[in-house]
Amino acid sequence: MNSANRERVKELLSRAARLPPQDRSDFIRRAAGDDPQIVAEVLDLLSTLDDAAFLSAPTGAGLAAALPNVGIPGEGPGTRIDRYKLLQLIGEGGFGSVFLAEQTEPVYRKVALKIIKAGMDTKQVIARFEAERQALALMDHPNIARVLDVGATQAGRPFFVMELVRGEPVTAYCDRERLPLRQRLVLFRDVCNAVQHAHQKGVIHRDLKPSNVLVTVADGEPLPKVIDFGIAKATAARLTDKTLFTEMHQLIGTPEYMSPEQAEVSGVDIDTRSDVYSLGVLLYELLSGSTPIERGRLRSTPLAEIQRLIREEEPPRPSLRLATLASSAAFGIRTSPGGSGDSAGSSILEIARGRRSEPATLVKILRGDLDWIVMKCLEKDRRRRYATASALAEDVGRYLMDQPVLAMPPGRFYTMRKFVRRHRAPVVAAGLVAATLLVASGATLAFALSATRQRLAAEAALARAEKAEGDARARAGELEQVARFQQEQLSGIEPQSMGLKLRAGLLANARATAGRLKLAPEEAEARENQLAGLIAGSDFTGLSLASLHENFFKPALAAIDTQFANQPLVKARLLQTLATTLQELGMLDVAAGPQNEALAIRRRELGDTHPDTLESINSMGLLLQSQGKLEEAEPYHREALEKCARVLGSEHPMTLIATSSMGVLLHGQGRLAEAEPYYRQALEGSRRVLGDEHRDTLKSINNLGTLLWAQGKLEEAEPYFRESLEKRRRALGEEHADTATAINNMGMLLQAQGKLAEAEPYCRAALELRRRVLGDEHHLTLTSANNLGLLLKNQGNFEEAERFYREALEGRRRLLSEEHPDTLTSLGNMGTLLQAQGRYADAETYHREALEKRRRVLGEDHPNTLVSISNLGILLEAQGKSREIVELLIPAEPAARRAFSGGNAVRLGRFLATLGRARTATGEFALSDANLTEAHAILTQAKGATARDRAEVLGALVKLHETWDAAEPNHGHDAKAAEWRALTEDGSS
Amino acid sequence: MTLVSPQSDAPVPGEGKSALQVTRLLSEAAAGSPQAARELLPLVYRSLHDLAERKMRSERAGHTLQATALVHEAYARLVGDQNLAWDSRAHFYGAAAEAMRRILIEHARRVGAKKRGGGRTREIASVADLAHEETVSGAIAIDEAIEALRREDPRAASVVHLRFYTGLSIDETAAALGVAPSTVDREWRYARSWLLRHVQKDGDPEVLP
Repeated sequence: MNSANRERVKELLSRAARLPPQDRSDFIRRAAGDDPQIVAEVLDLLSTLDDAAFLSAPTGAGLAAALPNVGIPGEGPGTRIDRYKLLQLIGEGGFGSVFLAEQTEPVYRKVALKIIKAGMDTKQVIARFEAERQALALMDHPNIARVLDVGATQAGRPFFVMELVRGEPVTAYCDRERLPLRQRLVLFRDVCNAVQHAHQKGVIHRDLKPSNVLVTVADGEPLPKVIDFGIAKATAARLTDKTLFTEMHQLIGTPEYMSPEQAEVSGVDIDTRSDVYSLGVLLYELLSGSTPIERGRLRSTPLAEIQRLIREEEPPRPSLRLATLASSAAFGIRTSPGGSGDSAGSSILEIARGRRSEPATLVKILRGDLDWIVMKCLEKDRRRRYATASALAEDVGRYLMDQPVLAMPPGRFYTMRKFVRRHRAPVVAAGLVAATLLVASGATLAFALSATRQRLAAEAALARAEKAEGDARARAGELEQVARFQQEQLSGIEPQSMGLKLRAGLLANARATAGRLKLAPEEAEARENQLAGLIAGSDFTGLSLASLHENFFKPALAAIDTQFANQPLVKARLLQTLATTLQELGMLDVAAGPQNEALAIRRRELGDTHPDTLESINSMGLLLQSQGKLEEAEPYHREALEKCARVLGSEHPMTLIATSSMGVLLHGQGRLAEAEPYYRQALEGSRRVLGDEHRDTLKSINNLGTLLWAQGKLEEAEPYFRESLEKRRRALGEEHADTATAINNMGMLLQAQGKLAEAEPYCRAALELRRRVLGDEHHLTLTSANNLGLLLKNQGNFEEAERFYREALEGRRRLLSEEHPDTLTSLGNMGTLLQAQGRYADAETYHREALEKRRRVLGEDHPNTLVSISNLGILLEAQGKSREIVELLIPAEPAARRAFSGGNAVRLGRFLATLGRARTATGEFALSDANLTEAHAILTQAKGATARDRAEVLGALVKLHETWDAAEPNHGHDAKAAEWRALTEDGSS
Repeated sequence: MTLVSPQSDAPVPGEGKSALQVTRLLSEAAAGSPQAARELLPLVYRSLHDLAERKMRSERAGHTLQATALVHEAYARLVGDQNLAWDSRAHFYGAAAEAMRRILIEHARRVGAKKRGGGRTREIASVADLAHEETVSGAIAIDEAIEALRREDPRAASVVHLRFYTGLSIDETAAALGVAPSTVDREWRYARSWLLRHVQKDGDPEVLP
């Protein structure tokens, strides 16, 4: 740009800056429309104009500190600041100084007064603190030291007044007291609960580290106190790209405890999971004596490298860190230079001694659950961390109680919860309890929303003063966490069991009433039976859901709608969270509204490729899948996948999820061959990115096995099922729901391969395990009952088979729904079993019901619908209803050819054989010949075709030609019959 | 603009040179003598430094220290009431700005070095540990940015130099530079945006307009 142009730019910039912001660009275009370069330059410069703090002259203590040999102007003992009198310096550091001070009005008390060193814009610090003050005031927890006041000293430096805590950093306390691991964990759990309390009030700490977790001793018991809530937020620089420096400088603060998202320069929103990460670092240090990224290592590292370390480097598990230390010690190597209060240089012996343990024992204790708890906190992707501090606290609690933990072996928590639930004494007034919980949840959310709204208003004022995009994003993160908290509470609710409890409660009440009325026992029993009969058809699950909807979701949605109308991104976040919760609860129709709106807002506000938008797109697809609208789901999954791959890269966990979702969709649509590459890609990616024993990887292994099986590739499927079972046994243990699934699948595969005797122990073990782990009234237990029934039927044990089939069918009708795919499978299976027993009329009722519902739910062309058609066909044949068979099968033939190809050809062979035989009976000989000849060709080669299949089709061909010859003699049909008969004898010889 | 009034009449240590001597150096510098400019700088530097130190020691705790006030006070001490020509005034403030710049930058470098050396005080409690250092290394980056601007547009850079390091207002800067306030305002606005953009695009200099 030459200097004449530059002068023109200066002039336009100066004039534009005096205009209201919305008029500026028009003005510039009008004034310099002839020169696009100038227009662009002015617009670009204008976009940076409004950072008021930039280049304000050095003032105050910052300048004082800079002047050589000039001390910091000082507040010291005796100085009065506002209504506080400084008594004694109790701490000093890079941040400034902490004084013991006394407050004289309105009450006399001793407090800690922290004066921040120079360099902050005091007004901004105070304004930010004020914006958070209301939330901070809501905190009331024995393990939280509250920040009471904020203000400016005469020197213009910000100060904070805090509840006085005389204590030492938790790590120092534990080391000095030589606390064993268990006692450290107990203290740590209190800290988590304190942090959770703050989170529930919408406050994120942002700077959790040992020096902010002080331990005091009260009545001989250690009492941890988390200090500085609200301060990091107030003193942190704005999270915008404009404050690059500040961000970098924040980084130098205490990077050991900083979450990867905090280490991002580009202002990522910080939410409660950032605190969970920092808690994880703290736990790491309490257990192993060093931080995940060793302190000594950070000292000599350039800033960009520190950021990279935090964002990318996987730290060793605590036990591994100790083991490394032990082996270094064995070779006489000091790992790193020691620092003040840093155990990085401590020997393994000192660390073990500090925990009243031996090195080898310590490593052994850490290995396993404690390792996984810590590592789950330290996940780089925050979605993989504990969702809340209380979830972390609970897991630590579980460890302390010698119960399986949620960390790493991912489904254990589930198992445990079920186990506890089953053994809990029956809760009679369960309905009431549930209702109380609901109202409480609703109230909490409403309260949180309204408190947050007020804070948002306070912040909006501030945001006008400073550019607020970063803040708004951070706020959205906090709101999301409030919603997430609700979601977690809700995820504990199972409408099915709520419904069962409601029903039980109702009957129990009736019994109690009968008791009060002193009815005769027979009378009481009769009335109870009458009541049971009356409510037999009631849908208690549905009632529970309706009540959830009325009392919780409707008010929540209305609140979001009215309170966040002007904050579309916040609104979208909350809507998405609710939609996901609703979907998980199976309230699919209610979920559709918020899901659609969340997606629409994000598309509009963030564009189609933003990770949040992609999340919503994927979620939309999954919702449609759950609703059975597979066609409609497809474009969403295709879009999500394409954009994830392009924007996030093929190895991103979100991309892997999108890939897998696509596979599940195609699998569900019966497009098995198309699904396979997606499953394979998701599996390979998961193995590489997440590791062989990761939950998603284990799922992917199983999914691929299931798909191969569905394609009839039983041999190919087997190694996947075996791997799945072996890995789950190792990673999750035997008593685990996911292990039960693997056992079940193994049994089913062996059964499909015709190895019935081998399959039986697997099928029985799976059912027993599921009864134990999940309870009788669980859909997976019912699946196992069904599967065992199938095996017994195939072994010819019809009576026992019927018992399990009925258990499955009745349970599914009750627990799932009349039209649930599993209920339909049960219907079909009952039909087939009855048919095998020769009870044709009963069998037909079941088959027809199954077929009718499958047609409606799955559509005419779905493989399961076609199986129903085939089965009904076979049944009709047994009853000699040939005309009906032909009418049933002809319209389905094209779809059957499409669906039953490749490894599933045996089904097509049987289908055609049935059709052909029926046509022999109806006299359509030529067509019958074509069908049977093709069936024969298929059944000669197809996998899974049995000798009996081949014998039957040959027999049918012989019969066709004999019948044909009888109808039309002298056309050579007798010769044909003889040919086929010869083959029959070949086959049997 | 509030001037901090002197709290004590005791002579500033090391300040033996007369106002006349300073005035002479200023006018020689204005006439183009590099030697005079070289002699002027340490004088102003020491004056500023001593003034600050004295304030810190003698005044009640909590007194505000402002670059602007220091510079004005140094001017009062070194030049007095004499009515200087604008180009001499420009030289004084230029030297003051340079002195403040050196004070800040030297400090920034020292703190940076100390940081790298480790050995930080153990913290009992902490708040934005780097609140202070933030200004410091910001200072270095801003200084480098101002130098980059100087290569493209010396006039805009001088305005920033004066305004930022001495805290002079638009009008005072205009008076010191002998130009219209509107000119200073225009240059200042442009320079701030330019610098802000430069700082933001640090490490990405290839961005085309």
